[in-house]
Amino acid sequence: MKKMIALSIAALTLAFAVPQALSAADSAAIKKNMAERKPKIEALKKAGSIGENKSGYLEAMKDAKLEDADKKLIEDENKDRKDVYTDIAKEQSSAAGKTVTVEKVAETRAKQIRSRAKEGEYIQGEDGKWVKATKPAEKKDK
Amino acid sequence: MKSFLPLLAAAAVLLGFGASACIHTESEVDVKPIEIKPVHITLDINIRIEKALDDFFGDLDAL
Repeated sequence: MKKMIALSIAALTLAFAVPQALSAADSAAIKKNMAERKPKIEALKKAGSIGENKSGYLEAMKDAKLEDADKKLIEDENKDRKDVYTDIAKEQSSAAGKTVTVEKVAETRAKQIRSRAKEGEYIQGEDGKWVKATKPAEKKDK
Repeated sequence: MKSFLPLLAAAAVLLGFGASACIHTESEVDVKPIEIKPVHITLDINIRIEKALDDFFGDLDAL
C-alpha cells in the first residue's frame, strides 16, 4: 500500500514537473486572449506606463500608477508569454537535439519586439537601459 | 656557331638550376580542418526560434 502511494506521488510529481506542450486548443486560446488584451496594452504603452523589457515580458515603469486591473492584465499577458516561450523552447530542444532555454527564446522575442516597437514606447535595451523607441514599427511582410 | 655553344651550355645549366630550385621550393602545407559545424547549428537554432516566434506572434504583431 505504501509503495502504491509513493508511486502515485512520484507519477503526480512528474506530471506537474515536466512542462507539457501546448495543445492547438491551448495555443488558440492564448492567442485569442492576447489579441483581446492588445488594445489595452497598447494604450498603457502609449501612456508610458509600461514597457517591453529585455527578457521578452511586459514591465511597469517606475513612476507608473497602475490600477489593479492593469496589473492583472500584465500578469496574465506575461504568464501566457511564458507558456508560449516554454513551448517553443521545448519544441526547438527536441528538434535541435540540444537544450534551448526558455530564456533564450524569450530574449529572441525581446529583440523582435524592440525592432517592431512603435515610436515613443518604452523598450529596454540589452544593456538594461530603458529608452523610448524612436523609429516607427517595422511592418512584417507576411 | 662557336659562340652559340657556350650560350646553350649556360642555358642548360640554368635550366638545371631552375628545375632543382623547383624541387626545393616544394613544401607541405598543413591544412587544418575548420570547425564550422557548431556555428551552423547555432545559426540554425536562432533562425528556427525566430520562425517559431513569428509563427505564433506574427498575426498578433500585425494587429
